[in-house]
Formats: sequence, C-alpha cells, structure tokens
Amino acid sequence: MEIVYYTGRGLPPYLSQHNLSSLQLCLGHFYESRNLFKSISLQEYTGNTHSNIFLMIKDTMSKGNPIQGGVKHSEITVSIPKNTKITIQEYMSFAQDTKTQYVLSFAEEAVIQSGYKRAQRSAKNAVLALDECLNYPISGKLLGNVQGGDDIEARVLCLKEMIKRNIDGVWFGGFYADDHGVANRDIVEAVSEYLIDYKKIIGLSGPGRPLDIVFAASKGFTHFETFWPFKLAGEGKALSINFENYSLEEDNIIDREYQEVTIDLNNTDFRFQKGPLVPGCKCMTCTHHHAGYIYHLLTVQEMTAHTLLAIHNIEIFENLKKFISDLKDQNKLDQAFSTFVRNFCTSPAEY
Amino acid sequence: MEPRKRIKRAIEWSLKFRVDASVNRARAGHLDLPHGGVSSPVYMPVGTKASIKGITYNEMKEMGCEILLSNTYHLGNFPGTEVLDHFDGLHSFEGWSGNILTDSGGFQMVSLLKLANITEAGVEFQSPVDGSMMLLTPEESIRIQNSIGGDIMMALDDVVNPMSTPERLEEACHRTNRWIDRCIEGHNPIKPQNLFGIVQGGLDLRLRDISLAGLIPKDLPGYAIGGLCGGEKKDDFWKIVAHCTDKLPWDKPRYVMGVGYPVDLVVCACLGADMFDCVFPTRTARFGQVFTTKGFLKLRREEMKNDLTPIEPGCQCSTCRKYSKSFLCEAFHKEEATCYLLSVHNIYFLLNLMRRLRQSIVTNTLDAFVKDFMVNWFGGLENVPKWVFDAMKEAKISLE
Repeated sequence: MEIVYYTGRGLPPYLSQHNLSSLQLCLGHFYESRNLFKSISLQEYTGNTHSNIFLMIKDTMSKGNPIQGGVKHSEITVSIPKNTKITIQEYMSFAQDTKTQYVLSFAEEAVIQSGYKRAQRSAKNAVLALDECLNYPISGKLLGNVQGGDDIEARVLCLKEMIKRNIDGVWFGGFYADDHGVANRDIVEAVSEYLIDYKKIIGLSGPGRPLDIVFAASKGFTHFETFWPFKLAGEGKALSINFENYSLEEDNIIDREYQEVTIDLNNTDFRFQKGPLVPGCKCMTCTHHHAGYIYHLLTVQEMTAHTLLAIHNIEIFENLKKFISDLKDQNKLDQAFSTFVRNFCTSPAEY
Repeated sequence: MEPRKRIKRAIEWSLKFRVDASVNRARAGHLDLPHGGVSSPVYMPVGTKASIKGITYNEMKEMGCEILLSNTYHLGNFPGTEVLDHFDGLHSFEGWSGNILTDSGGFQMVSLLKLANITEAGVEFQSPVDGSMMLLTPEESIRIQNSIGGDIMMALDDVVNPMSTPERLEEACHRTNRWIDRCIEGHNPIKPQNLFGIVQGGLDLRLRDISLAGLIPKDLPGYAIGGLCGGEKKDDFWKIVAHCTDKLPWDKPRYVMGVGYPVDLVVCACLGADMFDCVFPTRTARFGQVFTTKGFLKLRREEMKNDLTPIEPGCQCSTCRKYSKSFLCEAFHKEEATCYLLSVHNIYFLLNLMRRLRQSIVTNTLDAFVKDFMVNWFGGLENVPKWVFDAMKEAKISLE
C-alpha cells in the first residue's frame, strides 16, 4: 500500500525539506507556469526528485465547488487558477510534458453532496473523458478517476466501465477536506465487491483519516491520498498511536464515528510535561523534544510547533502503512478495521 | 515545585578563547564553551522564543550552526523561569545540544514596550501578560538568564539609541558601568555560564572610552559592542567598531550586537570583531528578499517566474539544492512554508559567509576574499561605497 501525501503545490504543509515517498500535486497550481515544463519535470521543479508524483485536477483543500463541469465531458472550469477553463488535451499535454509518474484521468470531480443530476453527469462524463485521455500518450501511469458523488449507483456504473479499459488502476475522486468518516466508508463498502479481482492500483482521495484508510485497505484499496497528518499538526494535535502493542480483534464493529486517539498539545496539562509525545515513538520530534516544548511553541505561536507535530504524525502514518502490510502478509486484513478501532480509537461516548 | 539548588561560589568563567590565526586586525578564533566549540568569526541565528521560524534544530546542526541566540525577555514571559527550572534550563527544554547566548532583555524592554522607563534601579515596564508595572533589574535579568542556563549571558545595559541627546548617552554609559557589578553580584548559576559586558557610549569616542575603562578591569570572558545599528551613518558605525575593537583585550571575544547585513559582517570581522547576531536574515525573507553573492535578490519580481536556476548557484543550503527561483517566486505569498525556505537560505548564507571569511584568514587570503566579496556584492569596484574603502583602509585590507 502507499500513502500519497497532500501538497497542492508541491510543498507538504510544514515539511518542505522532508522527502516523502509519494506526493499529490494539483494541476491548477502549475497551470500558469505550464510552458516551463518543456525543459523540467514536475518532480524537479517542485524539488521532489525522490518522490512519486500523483497529478490530480482537484486540490483536496479547496473550498466550495472547486471544479465545475458542463454538458461537454472534455472541458471543465476550475477555481485554481480562478475560473479557468481546462481541456483534456491541455491536461494530458501537461501530464506528458511534466513527466508525471501517476496521472488521474480528467474529470469534473463533483463534490460528494452535489445532487443526483450532477453525480450522474460526473460519472458518465468521467468515463467519456477517460476514453479520450487514452488517446494521448503519457510516460506515466494513467488511473481512471471514478466519479459519481455519493450516488452509489453512479459510482458503481462508472467503476464497472473503467475497469474494462486498459489502464493502470482506478482512483475514487471527488472527496474533499470534510468528506471522511462513515459517509466515506459507505461508498468504499458499496464499491468494494466489484474490486475483489482487480489487481491494479485502487486509490482513494480525500483527507485520508487513519480510520478510513484502514477500512478501505481492508476492502482491497491500495493507495490513499491524505491531508490528515498536516491537518492535525495545524490544530496542535498529535496522533497517539503505538503500533508496537495491539491485540487482534475479530468482532464486527458497528460503523459509528469512532475517533483516532490524539493528544491536544494546546492543553495546559502539557506545560510541564517531560518526555515524548508518544512513549516509544521513534520520530525525530519524540526522540529530541519534550511535549512541554511543543506546548510552549503553540502558546507563543511559533510555526516550528506545526513542523514538529507534522513530523510526528507522518511517522504514525508510516507506521500505519506497516500495520496494514503486516496484517495483509498474515492474511488478516479483514480484521484490520476492528483491530484498529479496538486498540487505537475512542468510541463516540468517550469524546 | 522545588526550586533548583544554586550554590554561590567564586566565579570562574568557563569560556576559553584562542586566536588561531590573524590578518592585521581580523582574527580566526575559537571559543571553547560548555556545549562545544565555536569557530569565529561567527553569525549567531536568533531563536527569539526558543525556535527559529519553522526550522528544526536538526536542520540548524546540518547547516553547521554552533551557537544560537535567545531572548531573555521573551523566555522570561513564556515559558517562564518556573518551567525552565523544571526542565533544567533551555538546552534540555528545547532540545538544542549546541551553545546558547542570551541577551539581557534590556533591548526588548526599550524597543517593544512603550511604557518602559529606565531608572537607576532598572527598567520599569508594563507586563504584557497582565498589564501590571514590573521592574527588570540587573539582578533579575541575571536570575532569568541563570534559569535559561545559556552558555553566554549578556549583562543588562542601559540601552539607548545612538542618536539620543549627549546627556542621555552619558547617563546610559555610566549607568551601564554601574550595573555590571550588580550583574556579577547577582550571578548564581547551577551550571557553567559566562557573562559578557556591553560597551556603550553611542557615537561619542570619549564615552566609549569611559565605558571600556569601566568594563575591561572586570576581566569578563568576553565583551560586546552595543548601541549601534540604530540609524547611525555607516561612517560612524565602523569607526565606533574600530575604536572599540582596538581597545578591547586581544585574548577575549568581541561581539557586535544586532549586525546581520552581510557587508557589515565582513567589515566588522576585518576590524577585529568575532561574533554577530541579527533577525535580519529571517525578517527580510518574509518580504521575499534573499542574500546572494551579488547582493540582494527580490524573488517577487516578475522575471523570476521563468528562472529555473537556484537562488545562488553552487550554494549548498537545502533550499538551493532543491528549489528554483521560479518555484519560490510562484509559491511566495501562497505558501507560508516559502518564508521558511528563504530563511533557511539566508541563515545558511551568513553562516557560510563567516566560515569562508575565517578560512581566508587562516590561509592568509583575506584581502582577496574581501575584494572579491565587495566587488560581487556591489557590482564592481567602482560601486563600493567610500565608507567601506575607509573601513578597509583602517583594517589594512587592500581593495585595489
């Protein structure tokens, strides 16, 4: 499995000097500079020469209705840069010029609660757009961008059509910053039965909450876009999960809104707290700094607090990858969600 | 909470300073401090509130930084001495294993607080925490600096703008000399620390001599030249530095406070100064301005958008190794992290500038280094200002 960290413009929030294995980039941020890429790849331009780049049309953190399609499947209007029309040809030329390793196919990227008509249209147009994308050769891998909002029927129809095509995988798009939790998992659950025998990349976009990632991984998803470690870092929170110690759990979990255990470093309880954020954590933050220092940095509004918290949260996400991989190796992926919830989450009654 | 136990004893300063090489007035020195050696001349990045604008201390180490500056006034407010004592000082609290120099807090009192009033007792100010009137005395400044546990402490001085009236400058000069005894008397450390005195006196050489005459007999481990960088003319600036470094002991480090402009660093080092600090590299980065060997570069300029070369070709800072001017220009204003990337470059630039200057002293190539630096920075020998020529003449450095 792979975690694809959100960057938008190529700089992971708070972590611009760190090498992450896979990064998400949004076309819109580079659209006005597109002529530069005749001589430089997107990897080189953004300083991420050691990372795999996943090119997407959407910016997960965009507010409102960032991508508007129309009757034509081959043209969309994006909000970054402001109200700019982009065609399939332009998008695929950009993907080829920038030598991007992974390219999500062109799509309207309808938001989850965009209504029945738009959900249907986005699914239908996504398939038509994928067919047209296939006419443009690219050096990277092309992933079918499955659309359909929260209309399960539209999603399934879109998926069924896409997996017939000669592409390198599928990617479930249309999820934005607030699209996580039960609603996200409902869609994953509904489409998973059609992916049982699909052995290519199966990606999930969105904010990438650990719970949702574990759930989707247990359903066969392989790649996950995430903004979550940076979101928590920005709020002064650290994931408090120690994957060294857990017990396998087989019971069925009623899919309620459980919550991953986090600690809020804004809390004055941490003022005198010596020691790491999470005992046993091997990240640079936990091995070099006290929790009380992070509390101080948040109190005086120093950006370093968010950097140190992001470093820690990324470590937890990398451990999450290993947790899922280990269970997969043991053929116990079906227990991943219940194990994660029972060991590392609080129930709704507790928060 | 039980306070840390302090044992009053005869003061033995731990700092050992040696001059490894010299060219005329310029020195390549070495400070042996409780948290390791520091090669000089040295620029000390400023971690005001126990942090340097998003840069981790691992990154500072990778840049070759050996000593940081922290602000007593800010740390006295947050986290406060109770927390600092609990964590056994700032090194442990912030996880920095290198050296720390702390200022006295006096400069922030005067520059940040409108209601500051300086009396013989100390600096009266209104607390930014609860609005009450408070008094920072020399003893209190040292008490806070003892809790911080920095390797070098600065004595509280009567900070005054060099453009102030002669009467005020005279008063500040004498008061600073009187306060040094109170600072020494108030020093009650748990771990080895070193106290630097500050030469005051504005632009008046007579007052500077009075200050020097009061300080040097104290046999402190080092001395700072304060009261500059307050809008004085460059001609006045370098002459004061030259006057003070000429009279300060050769075997003690000399620290020119508040200097962070690359040309000033080179000039002061040639005149015999060893240590410098300033927030200028990080502050100017916030405005999209970076240092290069060819002077300042404004990354916000339109033509940067198509420039795929790094800020400074050959620069080994992590920003120049990864990013082009085009990328940084596009990201500026849209990503907070861009200011961090520019700060990394500017801090590295000054650290490296001092390393290169030191090397040129060791190899006796200082003249060539300074000429090359000035010609590049100003875009030709004909553009180098007269004050630089005059200062270099005093330093016996030929630019011809």
